[in-house]
Amino acid sequence: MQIKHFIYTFLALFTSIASWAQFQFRAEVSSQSVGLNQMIEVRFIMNDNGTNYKFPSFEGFEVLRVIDINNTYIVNRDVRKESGNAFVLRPLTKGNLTIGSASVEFEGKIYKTQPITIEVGDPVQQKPQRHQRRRDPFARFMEEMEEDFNRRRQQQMEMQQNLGEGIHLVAKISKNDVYANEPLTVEYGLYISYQSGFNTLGIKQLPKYENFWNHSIDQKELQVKEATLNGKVYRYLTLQKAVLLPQKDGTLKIDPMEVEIEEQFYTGRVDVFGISEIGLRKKTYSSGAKTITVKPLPLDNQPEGFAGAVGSYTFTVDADKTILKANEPLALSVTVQGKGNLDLLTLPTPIVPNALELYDPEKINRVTKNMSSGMQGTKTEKYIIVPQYKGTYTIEPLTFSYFDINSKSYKTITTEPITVEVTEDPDLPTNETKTDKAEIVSKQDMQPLDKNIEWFNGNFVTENNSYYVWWLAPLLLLPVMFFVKNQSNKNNQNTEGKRLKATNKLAKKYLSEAKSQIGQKEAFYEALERCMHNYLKARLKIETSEMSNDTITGLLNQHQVAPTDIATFMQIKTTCEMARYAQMDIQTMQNDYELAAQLIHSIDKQLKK
Amino acid sequence: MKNYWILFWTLLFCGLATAQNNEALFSEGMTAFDKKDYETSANIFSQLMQRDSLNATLHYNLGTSYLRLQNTGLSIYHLQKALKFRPDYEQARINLNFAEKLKTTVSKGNLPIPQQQMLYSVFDFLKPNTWAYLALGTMFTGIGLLLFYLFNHNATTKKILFSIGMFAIGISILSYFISKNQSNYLLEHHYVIVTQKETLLMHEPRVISKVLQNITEGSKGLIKEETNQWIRIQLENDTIGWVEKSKVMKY
Repeated sequence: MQIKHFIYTFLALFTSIASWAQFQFRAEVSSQSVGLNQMIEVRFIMNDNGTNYKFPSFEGFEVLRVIDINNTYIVNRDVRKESGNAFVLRPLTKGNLTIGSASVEFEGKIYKTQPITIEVGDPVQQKPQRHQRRRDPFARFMEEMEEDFNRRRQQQMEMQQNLGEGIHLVAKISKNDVYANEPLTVEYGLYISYQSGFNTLGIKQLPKYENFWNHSIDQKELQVKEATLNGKVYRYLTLQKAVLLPQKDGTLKIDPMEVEIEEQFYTGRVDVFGISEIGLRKKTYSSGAKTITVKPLPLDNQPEGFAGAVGSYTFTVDADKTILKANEPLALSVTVQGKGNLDLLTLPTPIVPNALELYDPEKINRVTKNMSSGMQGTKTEKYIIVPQYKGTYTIEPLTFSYFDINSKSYKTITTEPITVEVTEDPDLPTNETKTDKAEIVSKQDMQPLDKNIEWFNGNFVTENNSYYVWWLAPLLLLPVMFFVKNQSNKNNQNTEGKRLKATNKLAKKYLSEAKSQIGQKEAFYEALERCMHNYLKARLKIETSEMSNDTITGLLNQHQVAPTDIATFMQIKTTCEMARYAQMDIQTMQNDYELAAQLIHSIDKQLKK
Repeated sequence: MKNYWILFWTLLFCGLATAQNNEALFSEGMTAFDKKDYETSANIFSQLMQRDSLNATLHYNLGTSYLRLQNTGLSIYHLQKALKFRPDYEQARINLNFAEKLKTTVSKGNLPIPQQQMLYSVFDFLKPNTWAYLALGTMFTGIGLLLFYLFNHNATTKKILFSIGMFAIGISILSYFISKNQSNYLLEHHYVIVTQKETLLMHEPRVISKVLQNITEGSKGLIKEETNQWIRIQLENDTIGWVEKSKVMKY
């Protein structure tokens, strides 16, 4: 089959050469047996300008490209022209496909090419095809020409093969395993082999660095370098560089970068000089997503005041002067220098006495971001301090802690305290008269020590128990004295009491009749007189009913009764007789009764002797 | 009674002996201060302080030494204490003003004055011991007058003696209580001074609790309540919360 077609081709060629001066119209195919994935080229060539050019319909094929052919050869001083068309075809189905004949009209005559049958087999791994040499002893020059053509076509086929394999978009990450806040770098680059090229490049999707703090490093110009990838040499172009700081621990994903490239490829057509034509097509490349493992910073031994600094640093606090006058400014610089997450760390704030006025700091950042170290440089906060009063003040030491990546441990730097001596007070405003006492006091100098000491003025006598003895003893004395006084009073009253008791007893015995009559004048005095008589009769044991004054006085004298008592007795007796005719009130009766009672008592005592 | 006399004399004697010793130490502290060796002078004065803890002069000298050493908390504490024992101590007031300038934060507002302090300032014209001796004296006079009253027979003199005697005893009891109030005020603590660089004001007396505020060295607070380890204080900005006892000093 193959041979048969070759013969056709051969015959066509042969006849064309043989009928040299005549009009020729021929069809050529690059291969009569192709795989489904391969392409063939069909050429229709004539050696003069024909008209009414008709092409077959190429059923079962897809026409990829139509190329005009316009070649001029000079052979043995003869100028030969060839014109026609070449079709790049791709088979659509397997099996034997036939390319129909093309026709052209020349000087009223119609020329036709032979139909060509092409065998389409399974898709094949393409290998370089050796073109069959034709053994034509008469056309050696043609042979050379054909060979040259075939060589070029072969080269071109290989190139087509390589197209698309020559470009790679790669993301390079400095570290896959980092601590949170540890800087890492990412670089997106395009590897282009020497066999390929592109015209334009558009970035379709930039990576979004989620959960990362990022800073992209600006490139001044795009530079093409030479680099190797998988053992092959490529041209290399950096697209984007960035410094990343992971803000979260865990496994973090970096989105891929996508780039749309208008790349060059060989169309399969050859130009006049047999050089393959280059076409353009758009293709999208992706760098692929990358994952990074972020370890959290260790929690144990984390120093107090750790503010998230990771890297390796030095920390300094400087004052531009330490001896100054009040109201003179002083600059205090707090500086961190080193490698690490400089942009993200916070510097400690100095603590100063309130006599030093502290103003908001000026922030000076000199941080460079590069691929070798991530971030590097110095970060400074410059505070302006204005002392208000004279004196010596201390600015407390500052501490700065960071996590050291190299030793994987926390480190703390503590600075020295800074002593500021303010030598002069500010001038007092003269136009203002301050009356505030506190203000005047504050302008005075610090007072020296006090030499006048009064020892133990804090020992309170009330804290001592003996004080209470001294204080309460007199109070105890008071009840004692009362008691003593009371006791003596009691003794005095004792004798009188007995007498009173006896009087009452006697009065009850003899004067009860009279007592019941108190208030009724006549009855009372009659009873009183009778009672007195009864008493005497009872005490002196006399039986006589005659009780004259004389007999009574005589009797009483006999018994040695005191003359005053006898007089009193007589007085009562007279009162009793007088009372029958005179006005008497209750008070007088009472008095007389008591007088009588006392008298009886007194006489009784004397009679007993 | 005789025992107390012995006790009294021995106390007086011991007092005199230590006083001489203290005098030497005191002048040593003064010379150390003059030589600008403030550390030593502060040490000496705090030693003396342990023997005579309510001495305004010692507190003043110690506070001034700490002021020179730039120890904010302790200098404010001792100068405040000197002013408590002697409210008209002008030098202490001046130096306290300097000490206040060492504080890192300025507090605004005033603390309320406790009732005991107001009473103290009313009766401050006499010292607590003078009040105590006054109580003793009036007690003796009162009792003497009452004895006279007991053994007197004239009714009018009796009346006069009795009323004057009772009045004197009343005065005695009153001045005793005044003396007690004055000394108690001086012995008891009403305020705190923060002596740590920085401490936290908590909502509750626990280590894990809501933090109300950061308080810095030298801040003053009024004591409201006390437990074993915590004190509830009112700050000058009227915030009330708990602080750890170890972080503050009471006065």
